[in-house]
Amino acid sequence: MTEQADIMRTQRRGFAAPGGFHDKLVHFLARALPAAVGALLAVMIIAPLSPRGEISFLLDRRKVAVLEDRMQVSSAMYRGLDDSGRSFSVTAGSAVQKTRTVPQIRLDQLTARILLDDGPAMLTAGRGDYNFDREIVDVVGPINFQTAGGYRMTTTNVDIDLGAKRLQSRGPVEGRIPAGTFSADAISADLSERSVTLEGNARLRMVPGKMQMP
Amino acid sequence: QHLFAQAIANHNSNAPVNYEADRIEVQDKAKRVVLSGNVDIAQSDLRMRAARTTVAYTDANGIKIDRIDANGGVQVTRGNENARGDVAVYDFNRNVITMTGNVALRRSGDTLNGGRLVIDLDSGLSSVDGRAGAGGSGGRVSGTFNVKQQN
Repeated sequence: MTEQADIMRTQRRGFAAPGGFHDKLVHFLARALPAAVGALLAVMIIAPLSPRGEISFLLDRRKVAVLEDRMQVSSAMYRGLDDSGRSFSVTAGSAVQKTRTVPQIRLDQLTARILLDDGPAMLTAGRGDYNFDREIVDVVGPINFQTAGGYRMTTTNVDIDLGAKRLQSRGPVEGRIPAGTFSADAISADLSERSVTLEGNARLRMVPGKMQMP
Repeated sequence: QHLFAQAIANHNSNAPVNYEADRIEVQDKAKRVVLSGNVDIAQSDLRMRAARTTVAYTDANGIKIDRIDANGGVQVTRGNENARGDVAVYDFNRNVITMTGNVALRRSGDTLNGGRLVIDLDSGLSSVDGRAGAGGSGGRVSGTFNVKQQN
């Protein structure tokens, strides 16, 4: 046998000699592992029986999440008849009615379609409250109105009376109509007559020449 | 009789027009704007003030103002020229302002009074004549001019 082979063999014998590290490790494991198996078995048998382990919950009526809106509709549509008996419709991306007492519905991305003498017209707004008893939509923020004939108007913060087809502003507004851009303390517009009345330091600016449609 | 007074020429009647009033009513069907309550209309250097005015416009392809009728103590100022009268009509197509009813024209010291004043905005020529309103009989025209003292 070569010299290296003899050296390797003696090393290995030394490692595996009785009372060495390896020998003690194996002795310990020989006793520890079966004990661990027994313990695990015991736990698995006893654990479900103990009362603490039962998983359940109590639904508490007060703590659960309550939806206080009374009614929530997405892509809602409301229909009605205006004073001259023609139908109109208000469609909205989402409509929320908070309480039963107030006939007020909060609309988002709303579009009102009405019929005028000279054809259909449309009002679009970002957000508004529709009072379906008085058929009035009061719009917060910008609103634009356009008729089939190409008449367009943009303004802000107005109440739309769908029955009488009139707009009424609550405060100072500015906007644009084919004639030009306007601003005033209050405006009222008759949609079928297409007339806009500006009240209180009214300003109108007409730029002859090219048409700037709102 | 006609008395002519030279003024700044070529007013651009296509310049933007700004209206200010207590109440403005825009009637789109009638293509008319009715203004009332110390009306103040400004177009580049021309300015017209009156109690009530009506603007007739067309918006076939782009806004075009046809005429402005003003009444109730009308005052037209342009540069150093200041004209006063009862009724004024600004005709955009002929670019002429016609004022009638005890008209007084004042320009840097000179004054001209008469029945009717016609301001031609293209040539800047303002002429006052005695006819009071629509072709009345020959009224008087009076005026004062201060002449430089050659001493």
